[in-house]
Amino acid sequence: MAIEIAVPKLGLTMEEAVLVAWKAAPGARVRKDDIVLVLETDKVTFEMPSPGEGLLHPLVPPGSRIAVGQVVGYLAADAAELARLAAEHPAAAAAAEPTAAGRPAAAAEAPPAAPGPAPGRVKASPAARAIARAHGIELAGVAGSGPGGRIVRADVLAALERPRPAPAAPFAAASPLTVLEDIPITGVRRAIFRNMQASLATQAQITLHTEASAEALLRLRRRRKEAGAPVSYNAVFVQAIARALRRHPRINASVEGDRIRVWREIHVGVAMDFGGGLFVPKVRHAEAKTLTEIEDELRRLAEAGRAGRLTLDEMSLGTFTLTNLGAWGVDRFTPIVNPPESAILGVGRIEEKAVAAGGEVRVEPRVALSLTFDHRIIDGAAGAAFLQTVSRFVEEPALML
Amino acid sequence: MGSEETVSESYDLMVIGAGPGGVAAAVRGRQLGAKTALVEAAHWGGFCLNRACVPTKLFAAAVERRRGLATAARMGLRDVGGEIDPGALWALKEELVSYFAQGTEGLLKAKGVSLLTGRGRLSGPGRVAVGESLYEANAVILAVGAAWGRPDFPGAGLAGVVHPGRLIEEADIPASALVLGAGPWALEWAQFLAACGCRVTVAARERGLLPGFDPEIGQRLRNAWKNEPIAFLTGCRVVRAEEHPEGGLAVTLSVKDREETRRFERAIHFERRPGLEGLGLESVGLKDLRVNERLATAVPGLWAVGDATGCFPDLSHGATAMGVIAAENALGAHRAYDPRRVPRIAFTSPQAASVGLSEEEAEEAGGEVITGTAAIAAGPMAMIQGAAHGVVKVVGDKRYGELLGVHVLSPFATEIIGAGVLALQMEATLEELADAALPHPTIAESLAEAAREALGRTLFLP
Repeated sequence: MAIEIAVPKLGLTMEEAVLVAWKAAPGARVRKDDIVLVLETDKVTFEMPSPGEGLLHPLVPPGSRIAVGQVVGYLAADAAELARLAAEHPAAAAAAEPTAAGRPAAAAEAPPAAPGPAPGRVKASPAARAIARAHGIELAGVAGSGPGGRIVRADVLAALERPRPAPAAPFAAASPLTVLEDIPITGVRRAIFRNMQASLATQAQITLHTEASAEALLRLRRRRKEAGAPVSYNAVFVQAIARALRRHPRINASVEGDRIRVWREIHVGVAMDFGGGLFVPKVRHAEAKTLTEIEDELRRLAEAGRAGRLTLDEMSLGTFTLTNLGAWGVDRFTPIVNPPESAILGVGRIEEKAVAAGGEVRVEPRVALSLTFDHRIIDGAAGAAFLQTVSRFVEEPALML
Repeated sequence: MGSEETVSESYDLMVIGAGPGGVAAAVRGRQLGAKTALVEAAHWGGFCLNRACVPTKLFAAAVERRRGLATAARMGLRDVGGEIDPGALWALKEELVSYFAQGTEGLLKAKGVSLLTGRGRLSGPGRVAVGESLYEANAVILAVGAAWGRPDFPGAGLAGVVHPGRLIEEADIPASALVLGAGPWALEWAQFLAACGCRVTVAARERGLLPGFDPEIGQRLRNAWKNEPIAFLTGCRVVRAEEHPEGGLAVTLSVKDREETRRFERAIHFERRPGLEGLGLESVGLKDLRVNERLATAVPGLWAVGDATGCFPDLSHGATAMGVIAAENALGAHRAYDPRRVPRIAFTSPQAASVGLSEEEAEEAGGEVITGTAAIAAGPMAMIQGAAHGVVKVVGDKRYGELLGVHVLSPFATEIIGAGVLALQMEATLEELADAALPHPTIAESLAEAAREALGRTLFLP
């Protein structure tokens, strides 16, 4: 039996992808878990391991737009089966469906449906299909009310109204729980939703925790306040991060396709919550800015955020993120990387603690620093070295100068 | 009526009125196994068969045939005349009407519907009286149609102010006529009378022809009719009608705030209102037959379809669709009637037909709208038929590409619209329409081209 190569659903909101490349030639033997093809969505690039071993028979040429669940090729057990597959299913070249706009229908309606209830054709009106496609709804899961159980537009619209169950939702449809509030996942929430999901789905994230003395930090703040030029904790952390990134440039990187891109620019995003969801405006070229400049920039961004005037430009193209939950009394936490960035620093609250040093116990303000990074491209030691640098800059801001 | 009266018979379903809505309801009821009776006072087949569709479509066919004869010489046919003899036409009309009326009666009997002749009226919930007899029914569907009304201007009661039913009865073509309105029915009559040599003036309150259609269709029809011997007064109101000293009517019209008086032998109105008189609605506490989308009245077990509901304009096929749905719902189904899927048609020459939303309606409904048009003159069949004026217009929603409306002005438009009706009912997108392999050479192939135009990929338009 030939093994089907079907497109996996990489994120909850993923509807389709582009098949970027086949990693093996037609007819070549592919072993299980070898990378067999590369997929690209609007968020991520994914190297797909082979579901089994066999001789590759691709159905879809590179560059094709394909739907989740679509069968894009087969693995034949032997040469005879490969020949039979070639006869039964048109080869990649013949199956070429232009990626051009206007005909996404072909991909979504390709007969082999995703693992659904009954295999075979889903009876649905064209409009129902178009709406389902636009919203990433699996028609196989929609009950049809039209003639002969045909799915009509009203059925899909009704399905849209219902909250969509997550793949491993703890509460099934027949839950005895009653809904207090139904919040549609749209707008900012949808962006966060996609980003966080993609983050954990694609990166191998690891978090390192450390603690730094906050004595110098408090002193610096006090002096600046007395001098009439107050600074926020976040301004200091942004500066510490930016200076540390200059020493550890490989942390300031993203995965693009099959390469690691190390960025020259250092744009540090700062997670801010104005009540309407999470925003991460960026401090551009933070490495070249003075503490006062960073402080001014953060104030400006926060004001724009509160007024709902943050622009897409101010929120895109970050290379690293700072998230600080100290104000909420959080000791320490595990942040999640904001892709396509590869690392994020989480800051906890400043708290007085008993510290033993040189045979003495003294009380000292301490702050927890937690670095999460993509272990695929940043090794543990490299991450730890970066965190150590940040920690030293926090303990001795003068080192940054 | 006292409850002690004897009930002659009990039915699962009783339908009052044997027009298109009532006949469909009764037949559907029987098909679903209900013991069904249909009550009709006078005409099996109703208004459509006896007074409207069949006669006027015969007249429209005569107009179309005459138009064909006018161009026959160019096709090499010699010595063909083109004068309509109303006497001969009326004789054919009588023949057809009586044939179809008998056919309807025979059909109903064959389907096992009990036919009760007489005027049916409600006698309390679930009770219908016909003459001296009283019947019981679990469900009653009222398909009583409409009755002629009267326009509201002073002098509307004069003998010269008539409805088209009178014209059909009289079998007489007036020398001059004022046609009140520019809807399908009015325009069909205007064109027929003009073809018979009557001097016709169309006076419409609206600014354009065929109100309710996509405005583009009305405008194109007006263009197509430039050479018709018909005068048009749009945005016009009748102030009053009086007897003209030399016979006929002196009708004062207000056109763009200017009054003028003209002489016509006849003024023809098309006023219809639900035929509720003597129906016994008071016995169930109703004043009218307004229905919900399931075609239920406010009284449980009492349903209504067709013109009786006040859902004009009068469309037999709309009433038929309602009849089927009402019968199914009366027997336990939960179906809704969607008037937008019922085409509006005009048997003018060229014909007009329209289903779904016009461009304006689609825009009012919200969402981004795309439209595509294809002039039929771009294809050979229109030229072969000598039809220079005509267009197919499609209206779609931009987001999903769903087809929302199809509008056709062309020969055979009332046939061509069938594809649009089906496409709409099946929720087609513009893509499907654009990809349909419609036969060539036909006028209908413009339907695919209009969809392609909407999608920016016409094949045959420059």
